[in-house]
Amino acid sequence: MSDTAAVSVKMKKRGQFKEIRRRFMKNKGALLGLCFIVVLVVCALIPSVIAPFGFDDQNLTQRFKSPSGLHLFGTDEFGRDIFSRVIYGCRISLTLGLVSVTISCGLGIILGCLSGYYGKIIDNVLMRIIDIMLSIPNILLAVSIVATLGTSFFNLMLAIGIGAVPGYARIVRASILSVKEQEFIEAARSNGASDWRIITRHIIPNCMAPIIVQATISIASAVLSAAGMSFIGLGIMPPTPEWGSMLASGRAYIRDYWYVVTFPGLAIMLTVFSINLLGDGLRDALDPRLKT
Amino acid sequence: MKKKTFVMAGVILLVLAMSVQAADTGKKLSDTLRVATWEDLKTMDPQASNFASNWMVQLNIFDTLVFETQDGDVEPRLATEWKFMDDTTLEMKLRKDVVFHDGSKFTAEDVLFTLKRGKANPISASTFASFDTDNTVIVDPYTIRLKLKAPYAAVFNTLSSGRGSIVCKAAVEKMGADAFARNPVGSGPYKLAKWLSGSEIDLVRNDNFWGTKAITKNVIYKVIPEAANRVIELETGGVDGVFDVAANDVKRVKAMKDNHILMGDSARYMTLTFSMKDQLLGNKDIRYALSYAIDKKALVDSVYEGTAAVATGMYPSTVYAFKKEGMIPYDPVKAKELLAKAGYPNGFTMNFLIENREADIRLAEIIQNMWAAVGVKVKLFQMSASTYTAQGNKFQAGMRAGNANEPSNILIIYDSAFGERLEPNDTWLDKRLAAAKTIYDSKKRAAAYGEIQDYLYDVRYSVPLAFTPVIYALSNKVEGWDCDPLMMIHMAHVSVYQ
Amino acid sequence: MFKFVARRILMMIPVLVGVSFVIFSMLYFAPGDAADVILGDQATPADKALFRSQHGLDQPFIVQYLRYMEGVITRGDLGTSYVTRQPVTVEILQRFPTTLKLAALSTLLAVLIGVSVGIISATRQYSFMDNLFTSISMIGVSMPNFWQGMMLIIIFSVALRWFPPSGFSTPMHWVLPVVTVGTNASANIMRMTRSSMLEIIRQDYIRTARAKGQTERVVIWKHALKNALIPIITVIGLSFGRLLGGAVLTESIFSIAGLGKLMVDAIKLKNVPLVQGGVLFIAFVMSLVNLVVDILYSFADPRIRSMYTRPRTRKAPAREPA
Repeated sequence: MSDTAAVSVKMKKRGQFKEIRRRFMKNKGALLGLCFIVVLVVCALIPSVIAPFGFDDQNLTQRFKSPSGLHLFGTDEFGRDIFSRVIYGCRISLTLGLVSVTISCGLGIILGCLSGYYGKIIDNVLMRIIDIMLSIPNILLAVSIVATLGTSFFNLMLAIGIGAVPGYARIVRASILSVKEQEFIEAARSNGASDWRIITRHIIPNCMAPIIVQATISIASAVLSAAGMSFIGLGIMPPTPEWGSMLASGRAYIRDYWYVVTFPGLAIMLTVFSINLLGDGLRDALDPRLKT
Repeated sequence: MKKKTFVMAGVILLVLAMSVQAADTGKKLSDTLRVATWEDLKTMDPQASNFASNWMVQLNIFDTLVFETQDGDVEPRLATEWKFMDDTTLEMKLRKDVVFHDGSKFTAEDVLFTLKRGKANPISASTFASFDTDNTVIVDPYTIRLKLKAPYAAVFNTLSSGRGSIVCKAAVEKMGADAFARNPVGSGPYKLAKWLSGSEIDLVRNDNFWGTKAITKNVIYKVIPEAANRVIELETGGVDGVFDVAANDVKRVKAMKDNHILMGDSARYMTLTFSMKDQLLGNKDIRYALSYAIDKKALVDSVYEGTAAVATGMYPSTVYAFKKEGMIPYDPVKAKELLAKAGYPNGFTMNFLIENREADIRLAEIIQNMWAAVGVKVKLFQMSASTYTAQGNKFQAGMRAGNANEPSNILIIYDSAFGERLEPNDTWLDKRLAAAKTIYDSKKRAAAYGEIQDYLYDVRYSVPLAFTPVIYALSNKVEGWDCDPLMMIHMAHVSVYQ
Repeated sequence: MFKFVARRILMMIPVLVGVSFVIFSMLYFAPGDAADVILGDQATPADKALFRSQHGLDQPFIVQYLRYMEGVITRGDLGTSYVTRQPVTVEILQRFPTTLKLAALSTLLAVLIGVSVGIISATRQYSFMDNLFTSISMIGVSMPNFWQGMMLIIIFSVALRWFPPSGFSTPMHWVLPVVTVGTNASANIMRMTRSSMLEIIRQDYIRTARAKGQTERVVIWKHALKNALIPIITVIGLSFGRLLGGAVLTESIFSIAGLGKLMVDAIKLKNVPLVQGGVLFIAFVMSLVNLVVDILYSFADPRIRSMYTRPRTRKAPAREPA
């Protein structure tokens, strides 16, 4: 591309970005969500600074203490401070969400690109594979994967991530199909651009918006799926303070010591809620057709 | 004067009438007993069963030859009398008035058939290993001479166990084993009326039962896997009795007006097992160190909320020939010393396997924390039994919930032939275990098992942790519920009022 | 239309075969097998070997797979459960009606809530109502299923004694589980309804209808909703299909004997025939649901319908008037 053309594209992109940001800021809910997520990220990065106790400081004489000045959220069945465990849990949940989404996204984009770009047989085969994955209920697929590979943090993220691959693959494929025949692709190709360059420079940026929105939904559902897997007994091993496993192991005490279950539950709920708000806000902001 | 007597008589009559009335309404029996159990039956075939949840229901449908009580007395059931012809031959005389649920008469043929199929089915084969069915002789339709491969002291225990339930030969042959698993034909006080897979099992009274007929006509077992929900059902009046109550629900049930807790000693215990295939754990000092690092009192109280006792021996105190060895002391300082002596002053990392049960997980989490205090880092692995045994003992430590009431069954885990968990490959121990099985004399047998327990306490292949009680929650309207240590409740004796 | 349906059914077959192959491989390569679980650790290696040979577990991978598939294709026999020794088909069909009921009722509730809230949200975007409803529905979907279930049991079963806490036998038993699952599923439907309606409302033909003087209600219901239906139907179909796979967590909390719990337990026990059969069954039903959704598309959108049907020509009567 010539210099002036490149510059004008850059300027247009910057203008676009400003516009997107403006729309996003108008959405109070999304801003709220973003703030909360920033808090979570801070907790994930420096938990030892914020949490008064360690996540595995058992004290069998201090079991089930009610919320108080010393223990903001009370103590659990082993006398551990619930507030500290919730703080340390931020890192686990965010890691879980980000890694599993990266796995889904990565695999999905690759599949979608191969499928959309090369078309015909490859497309057919890959779409059948996607259909196969969509025909197995997510939870059963995750349980099978963990049963096969064993219970570990990475396997859990893999199991949850694989379930979300079809969503991304379809987005990328649809996006590719929609622009494949357009003129500027022809032009780029006749200019000698390689397939790889075309895909990365033109196609992927085009479908960034729906992918980002899908990613926020995926992160939220990954956190919930991990909680569910802990409930079944295939989640993260103790003493790791993952919110879902705190819920699962505390559910026997729900009637006598409500705080053991309520605070991790609220943590999950607020996190998922914020991510959803953020995702909806992003979608509204990125989709030009939804301008008010 | 006369007036007073008249009034007195009137009052007395009134009181009598009221009490008769009260007795009448209070003591009206209901014809349906509903209980909550923790898992569905896999099968109604006694020789194909492996879980307490199966036998618990089957014992009402089938009968065994004899019944061994807690104290070791052997009571007649389908067999009326028996005597040992010699060390390995047991002649039993059978009842002549027993009829199976399908109408066929019970004879010695059914007994031999049951024993033979028990041996043939891999699920129960090891239980019947000592029975020699090829040389078992049917003397006449109501007399059978059982042959044993070697003197077998636990013969009555096996015959009175769930796997020893006598099935109807004609029925099994007619419908095949697979259909029999869903449509059992036994001789017991109840028949199977309905089985909604995963949801409930309905039993109905057998009016042709050879013994005392069951008091309550219908018994419904509701399958409710969540412990908290079982108690909630009791609370809301959905069931009259609950099997397997969680320790933390005990206080709440005790506080309920209409329900109560029935708790008693059981044959259940929790023990920590070490894999003797592992190099590290082959070192006795390390095993001792790990056992000293656990504060057993705090551990057991925390997990069982005071309902369980710290283990003071190698198996539950309710079991035959229990020998009190005392509680292994809590001494983290000594533990660290022993670790340093063994060459690991800074500890090491271990893999610990637990099955997916709440109590197991809690015990393991606390032990993990206590061992961390002496420098031993533990990685927990939670997996179902299948995955575990397939690992072939790759795990250095494991948790085991034992539930058997006979020493040879309990101690089988130390036997080298058993494999899978401990694998001590201790020939001295193997010989002793095999020998103890054959001693008929009670005193000598107790002494033999005592010696074995002393040895096990010393060698520390395992660290017994807790003796857990059996806990039932019952409505106040229920009567006749024995506090059976193995959850084998005979519903025929249970009555429930309206 | 018929050709379209037939072709779709034909395309289901490779997918179903693929599904069964994937699941079978995963279970095969997982450590441990049914012999280990079912016989427990009191059994000797000899016992286990006997069990394995009785069930063909010692055969090589491809033999076991082909034998199973042969049974499925030639006899419609989904195998026999290792644990209960019953035909897998029987076990599945015993549990399927319960799961179907739960899925159908929950989807119904989800549609009622999701569509109505979505429409309100779309027509009054960014208003107080919009934010309120969106928030409520998002709270519903952000709560882990089993937590929500336990909360409902404690409030409505234990405290208020309005509904029974476990089981699924009477309509009173249906309420709490359906509310738990339905509220969760409603969020997706609400979101799709909202965004789809928003898109349609901004279209020119809506503006035209308004300009022509149509009442707002007619505009929304007759014109906007009908055209917004397609993506909404997709989401409803997907939602229903997913629930057919079993709402495992809800089934556990409410002690409902459904397909989901059956499957998870089967996977844990390495009960391969039951897992295979169950997954095949579920995949088949889900594909059917997708097919039905696609057919519904054609009714909702005449443009699509025309793609699948041939124009009907009037044939001359066979008999000539005398």
